[in-house]
Amino acid sequence: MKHSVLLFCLLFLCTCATADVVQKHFDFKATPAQETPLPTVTSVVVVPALQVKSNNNLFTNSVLWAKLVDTQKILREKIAHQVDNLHNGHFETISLFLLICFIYGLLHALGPGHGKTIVAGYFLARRGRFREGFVLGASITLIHTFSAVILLFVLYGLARATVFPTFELSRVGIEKASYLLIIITGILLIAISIKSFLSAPKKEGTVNLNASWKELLWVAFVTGIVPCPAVALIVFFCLLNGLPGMALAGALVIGIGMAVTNIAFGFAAILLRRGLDTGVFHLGRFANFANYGISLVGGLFVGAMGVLLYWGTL
Amino acid sequence: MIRCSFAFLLLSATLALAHPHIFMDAEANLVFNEKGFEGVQNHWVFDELYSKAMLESVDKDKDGKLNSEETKALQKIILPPIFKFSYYNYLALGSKFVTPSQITNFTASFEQGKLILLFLTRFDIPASKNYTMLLLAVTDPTNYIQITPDLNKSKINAPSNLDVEYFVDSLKGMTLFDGFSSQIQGIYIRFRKVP
Repeated sequence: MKHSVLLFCLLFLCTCATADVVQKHFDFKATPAQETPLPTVTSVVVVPALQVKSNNNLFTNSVLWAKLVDTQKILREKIAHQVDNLHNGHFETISLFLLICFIYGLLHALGPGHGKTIVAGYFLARRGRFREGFVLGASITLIHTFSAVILLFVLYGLARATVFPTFELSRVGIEKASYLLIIITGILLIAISIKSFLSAPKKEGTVNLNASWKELLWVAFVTGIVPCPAVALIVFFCLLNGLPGMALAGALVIGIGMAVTNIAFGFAAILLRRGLDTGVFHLGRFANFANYGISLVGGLFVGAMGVLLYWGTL
Repeated sequence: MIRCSFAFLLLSATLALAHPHIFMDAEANLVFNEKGFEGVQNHWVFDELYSKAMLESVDKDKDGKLNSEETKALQKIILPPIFKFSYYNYLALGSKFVTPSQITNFTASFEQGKLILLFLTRFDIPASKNYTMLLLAVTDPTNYIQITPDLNKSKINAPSNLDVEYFVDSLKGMTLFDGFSSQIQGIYIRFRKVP
């Protein structure tokens, strides 16, 4: 009997404690129990306000982006699982590990900060050949991947314990410097377009705005130098599991996957520029103006992307 | 052709920002005390790669567990840098986001290869006779961390002197949340002192 009374009291107290918590959509109509309509105004409470920094846009609000991110999350879990397998001596899973790394790289490069926009902008500013598109797309991602690997290996050698927080600090600094260099690259491309326009003869078919290897290497370096944190985490995870060889192989394959995405963007931009060239050829004496205009837009695009990326780091 | 180029440029431009590198599952419980809304009790579970990296950063005795000293070190590494992101607890009151007052009850553990953090983000918003309306979103609008919140699991702890109502729904149409992903949901809360 005593126990029953105690149990009843406990249940009663629990019910009282949560009696006024209700999960439902708010009903703003007056109920019979209320003499006056339910007030809908908020109370005046003085609290410090917070500024929000957001990187969301049309693409990140889409269902496609949500699926892309979810897939990356699953792939990351699978990579961790495969590294555990390798750590436990199941080396027959190497090919599966590398395949997952490749797909991860392919999808990961669809996110920002992997140079697609810069590649596209550059090949709008400059007429390129497919081999140049291949080299620029591949070199940006390989620099992006191996800058992370090198930085991580150096930090791992110097201070194993605090390697990831230190990596993050270093990455933020390099990221800012890289984005400033991209802004400068955009300004240079604009300046070259204007200079070429002013100094070139104004006859048809004399426009020379071809890509150069020197420019390609510069663009690849300034864009790719930001170390990729995703690669760094996978490399670090392999190192912590005593698999330095797998760390390097995984990073290389992720880099190749990312390169495929970037090269595809490079090829698309080269084709687009060729299409535009064909289109403006029919403009007769205005063709040169149009060509310089397209190059100017390409340069502006690169510069604007640099500004946007830098803004995102502030 | 011009349409084509604009479409291509727009596609490239939309891919220019946002980039998740860390993945986290989150639960958020709402805590009230006699005075009003105390804060958000967070339960975060990080992905294995990030978890291992962070454990390695603080696990000085290399026992694979976190003692109190290591937990403090972890709190210092993880939480202060995200203060400016409201610890990913964006709480709207009227037309503004509220800045958290402090973090309490921080604990960390490492289970099945995953780092789990528990802590209370305090806001301390007093209750009055009239309803105070709040809207909470748990997200990283910069997309560096991909947070997957399960708000339908949220629990409310409130004393009997408060009348609390809540529901989970989309943030669409909420001007203050325009910068957030339209894919996420929020908890709509209103509370007042029991008349």
